[in-house]
Amino acid sequence: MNCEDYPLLVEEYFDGDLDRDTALKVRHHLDECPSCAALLASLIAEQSVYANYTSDVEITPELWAGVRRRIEVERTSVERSGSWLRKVLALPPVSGPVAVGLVVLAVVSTVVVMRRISSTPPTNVSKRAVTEGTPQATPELRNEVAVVSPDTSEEPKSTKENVTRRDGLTIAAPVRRSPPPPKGDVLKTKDPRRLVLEAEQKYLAAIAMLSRSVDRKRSLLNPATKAKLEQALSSIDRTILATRKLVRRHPDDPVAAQYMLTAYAKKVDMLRELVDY
Amino acid sequence: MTNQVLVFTAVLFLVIPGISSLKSTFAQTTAASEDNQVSDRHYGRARINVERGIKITLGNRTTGRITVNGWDRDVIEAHALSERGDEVVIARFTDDSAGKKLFLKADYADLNKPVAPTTPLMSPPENSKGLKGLLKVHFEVNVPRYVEIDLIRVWYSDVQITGVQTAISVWGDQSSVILKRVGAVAARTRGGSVEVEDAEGLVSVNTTGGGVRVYRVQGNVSVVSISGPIEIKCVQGRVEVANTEASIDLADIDGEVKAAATNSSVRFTGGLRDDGRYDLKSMSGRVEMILPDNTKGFDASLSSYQGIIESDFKLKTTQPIIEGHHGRRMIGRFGNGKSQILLDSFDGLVRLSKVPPSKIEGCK
Repeated sequence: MNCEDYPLLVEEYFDGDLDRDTALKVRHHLDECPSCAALLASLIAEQSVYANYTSDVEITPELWAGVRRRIEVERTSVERSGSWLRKVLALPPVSGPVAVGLVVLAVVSTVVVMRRISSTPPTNVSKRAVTEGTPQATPELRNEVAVVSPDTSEEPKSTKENVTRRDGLTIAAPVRRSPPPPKGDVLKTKDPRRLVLEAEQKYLAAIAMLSRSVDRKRSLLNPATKAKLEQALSSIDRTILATRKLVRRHPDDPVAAQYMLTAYAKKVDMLRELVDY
Repeated sequence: MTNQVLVFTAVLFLVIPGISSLKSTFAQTTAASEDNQVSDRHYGRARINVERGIKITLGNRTTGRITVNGWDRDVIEAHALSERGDEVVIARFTDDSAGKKLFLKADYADLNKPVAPTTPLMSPPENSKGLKGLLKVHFEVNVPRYVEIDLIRVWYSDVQITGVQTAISVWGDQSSVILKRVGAVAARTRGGSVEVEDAEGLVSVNTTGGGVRVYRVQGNVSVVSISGPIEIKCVQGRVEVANTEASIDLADIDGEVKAAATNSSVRFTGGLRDDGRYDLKSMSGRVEMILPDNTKGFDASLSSYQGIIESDFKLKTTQPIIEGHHGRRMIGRFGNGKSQILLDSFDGLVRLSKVPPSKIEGCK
């Protein structure tokens, strides 16, 4: 594994996402590499900020007492509602004819009220008499919105598949002139996150391979070129790290994935240039 | 005890209509409070006179399709329909500091009330198979060509817009989007395919897994996908396209071309424009450029780190061909050298092909 690969792994090491062997390698590398150690330190610092943030919130005894009081109040109200039902059922006995009369009265009043409700149209419902499939014949102005009589002379054709109605009428559908766009059906079944991860692995493998070749040439470079190279590579690595975070946050976003893969591609391009140098 | 139960039942019967009345009164109050807008529910087809400057917002309560057709009339006609026949169109007009807006939405009709089918339904009706919530109401809207359309946000509703001169934005999830004879386009889907034909402005498409087909565009085109195949033909502007897992197929592009793939192939077919630039790359896929044999000329850089390079054109190499352990690279000129071609793959085949002009489809 090359030095350039480690910054990418340090974050996963910190998250505990690495397998045992890789984690061990990263740990050894951290002992030797100050920049990777610094990266880990910054991750730890960031984590501790959040950890302290939560532990600073202290729950006072007054708050707990308040919570208990509210629980008690809610419990009492539930018990009260139960006792109300018991009281209703414990009403003094009523004679049979009176009870039957009350039921009849209630049913009649219910029917009357429900009929009234259903016969009243809602406020924002059109009051026009409607014939099925026939639009309004009389223009009806509502402020600047006018409903006008139909004119089918310029009607564009409707689209897609026909709709067959229950009355047997088939609603016109357009002829699709061009074939449907290519469907990624086979690939669609694959999780995009997995596809992006696989693509990332390909780039990492290429970077690892190219880095080995570059390492062999590194000793031939003069110090100034070497410094520029290190600077350029670490700049790309920062971009890769940033875009990886973006992809983690938005795993289905093709644009985020493209940013990350472009950053990897840049690194591959640079390493290839160095190999040919 | 029996009498007590009867009394209790009577009380319940009295309470239910009371609650219903209250609910109805509340609903009416709410509707009245929103009445600074002109709002209406139309059964079947609604026709609305409009003028320039109006903006419309389209929606569908169901997953039925939304179809918009542009026409040469100052009238908007909206029709909601399903397998049951006509359904309801909600039309709400607002005119405030933001301008004139018309909100149009397809909704279910209440067919149990033939006198008032526009009554709002709280829960969806059953479809012909007796399944609730699966009845699709399709929404067909004819609009003046000049009308501005707000972002159409859908999940499963397919969207088709034809003959509208203004810019169109659609965000869909699994929806397929078809846009023909429109202005600029911005489309975003997760799994749905996108087809754009005869667009006048910039076309920008982002999709996670849907296929993309773009034909005949006067402006620039930008397409990004993860796993949807991309096909772009007959574009007058610049094309910038990227894909991770599925193919990129380009043909007859007048402007500059920049295409990048990771695990898939990139192919360009068509003639070259003088001083045009063509940059096709793939990490591990095949990269191929198919040119007519009467091509006037170009400068080309063909490279592959682990793959093979092939060229049907005899290039006059300006630099020695690198052919060794560390990849292959061929840089050379053909003819007048006015166009610039850069083909590259890390471990795939890189090929520059020559075919008779008759084999190239062209844009008609």
